Amino acid sequence: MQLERILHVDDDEDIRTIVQIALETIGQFELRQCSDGQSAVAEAQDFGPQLLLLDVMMPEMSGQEVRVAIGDLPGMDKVETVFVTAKAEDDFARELRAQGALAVITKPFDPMTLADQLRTIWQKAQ
Amino acid sequence: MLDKCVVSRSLAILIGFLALALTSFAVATYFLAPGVAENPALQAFLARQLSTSIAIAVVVSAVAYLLWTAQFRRLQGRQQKILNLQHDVMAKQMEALSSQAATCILDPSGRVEAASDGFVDMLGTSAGALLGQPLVEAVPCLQDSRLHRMLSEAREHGRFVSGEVSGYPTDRPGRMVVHVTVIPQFDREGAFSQILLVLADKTQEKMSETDRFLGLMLEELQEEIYVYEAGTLAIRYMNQSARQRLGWSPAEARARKISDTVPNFDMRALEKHIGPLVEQRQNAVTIEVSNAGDSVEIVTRKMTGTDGVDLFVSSLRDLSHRHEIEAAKLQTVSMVSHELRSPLASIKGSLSLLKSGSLGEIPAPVEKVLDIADRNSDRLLVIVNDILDFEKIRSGTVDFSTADTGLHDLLHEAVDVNQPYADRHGVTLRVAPVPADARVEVSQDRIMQVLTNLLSNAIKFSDPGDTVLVCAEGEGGNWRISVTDTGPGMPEQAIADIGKPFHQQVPVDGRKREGTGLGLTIVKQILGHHGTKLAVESTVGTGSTFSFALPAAMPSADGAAYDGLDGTGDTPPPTAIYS
Repeated sequence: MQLERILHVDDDEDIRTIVQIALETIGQFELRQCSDGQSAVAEAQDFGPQLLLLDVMMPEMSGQEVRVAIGDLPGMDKVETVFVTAKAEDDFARELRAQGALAVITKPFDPMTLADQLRTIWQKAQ
Repeated sequence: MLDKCVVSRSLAILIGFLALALTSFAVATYFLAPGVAENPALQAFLARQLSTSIAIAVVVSAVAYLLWTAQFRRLQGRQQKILNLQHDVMAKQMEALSSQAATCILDPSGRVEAASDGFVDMLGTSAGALLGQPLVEAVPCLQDSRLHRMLSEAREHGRFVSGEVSGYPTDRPGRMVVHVTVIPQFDREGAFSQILLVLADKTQEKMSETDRFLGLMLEELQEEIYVYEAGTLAIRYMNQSARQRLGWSPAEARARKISDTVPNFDMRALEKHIGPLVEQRQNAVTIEVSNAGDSVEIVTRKMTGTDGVDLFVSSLRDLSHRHEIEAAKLQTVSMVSHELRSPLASIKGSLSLLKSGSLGEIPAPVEKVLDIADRNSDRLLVIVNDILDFEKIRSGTVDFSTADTGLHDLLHEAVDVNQPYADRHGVTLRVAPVPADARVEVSQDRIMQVLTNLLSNAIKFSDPGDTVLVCAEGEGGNWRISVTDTGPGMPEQAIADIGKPFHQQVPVDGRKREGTGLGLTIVKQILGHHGTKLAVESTVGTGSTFSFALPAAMPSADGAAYDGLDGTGDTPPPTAIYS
């Protein structure tokens, strides 16, 4: 199954703009973006994403909490997650993968290759 | 004194003469005066006068004689006393100068007239260097303002002065403390003539005072100190902190062994800890021990006691507080790093999108400025990453677990990662033939970081058109990995400074390169965790080779096959993906 729909959650507006260009304009994905966890949980079922691209450190709900909340929604248990974080510690990345994330991408990432990276990660997981 | 004697003698003679003249007058009157013989009454009167005059003359003469004699004897006694005193002083001077006592005689101007052997020996000089010279200038260790003051006081007030002076002798290390007695000497006229100086070396005595002070400090230290015999482990000394924790008195401590300080003492752990000291491989060993949540650091040194017995001196420091501080510090650094990396992600992302042309064509002058912004955001990222890596490795939070890793892929991946940076500098990266089955037991991410740091350094110091070569060669049971450039090279001193935190080399070509000065420090830290070291060979004007050995995984390095020459990869660099 090809990766087509991605739900991106990041409280940083600039990052959202860059990811939008990287994944919509360059990557040709169907993308929906939210600035916080609550609105992502609210929109998840309506959008039906295959992949969650989540910032880790956000106010109110962290990326991990968003992943759990969306995973608990009916029909959302198969949704995969890739985290984006500025915290570059190995242990932290390992912990996130242990929690079920497909991959952890550290900031700063290259927007020109982000779409390709996500496709590669997705294909590996299939 | 003598004048008084002359006066009293003259007075006695004058009185004697007066008595004689009176007697002569009485005799002459008695015998020669006319009519005396015919007048018995007058005769009797004159006879009485005569006898009275004679008696007076005799008495006066006797008194004068007695007075004169007494005065003379008293003066004679005083003179004798002065002579005796002078004799005694001279005798003492002679004794002082000829004995081992440290004495010397100075003339009124402070120049040395004579010095005893003891004086010369104590001050580590020679008689030739002293005689005729101003003392304070001739003896460096007496150049103390207190001695100046003592000499002046003795000279001006004519009294004994004593005190301590200190200085540094030329013939031995350490400070010397000398007790000085200054004795002024005067001539017969009472004028100041000489100074007798008597010295006593108090250095040892003072040392003992210092030792006592140091002992007191040791006793009061917050750290626990244990001194015990290397052979029997019998405790010689425990300071107050150590005794308080164990509830022992000094006497109880001396009756026990170091193995009594902890229940179920691990003798093997102790032997392992002190092994490098026993084998004289290290001067001091450090171990961190955790017990019931508390963490302590034990530093042990080997020393020889004054009785010639080998001793171990261990100091224990509670690390719990330090760990708390380090954790807080790491958290702060990590937070700062995060706060910097997030905006950097936006800057780099925006620049990357602009430069790609996917948002519209970029005019050449704008592209040039974009390159500057992009290059400097890269630079900032390197700094942030270096500081974070350095802090993480230093605090021990980095995972160094090793795995069997293919060397060929490792080296090629390292080259791929650094290819864009090499392209920007116009430098070619080449990997020399690597045996296809060459494998190493390493922490892959960390060795990749080492290779990246070495490659980026080599690229930075190369000129456009140069080639940086990566090699792997079998070396016993290891593989030696090397990165060679043809840059400006380094002089010997610069090689010695490699790896000092935040130290940036001043290149021999004078061209400053970007960097934090942490790259090679991180390399050394990582290699240290792999039990290996960074080796550097460099020739000014020719280039440098940085290399390190890695333990081979099975199959061994011997007899491995080569897969031929590899070109450099041109795969786009992967971003950090932990998948």
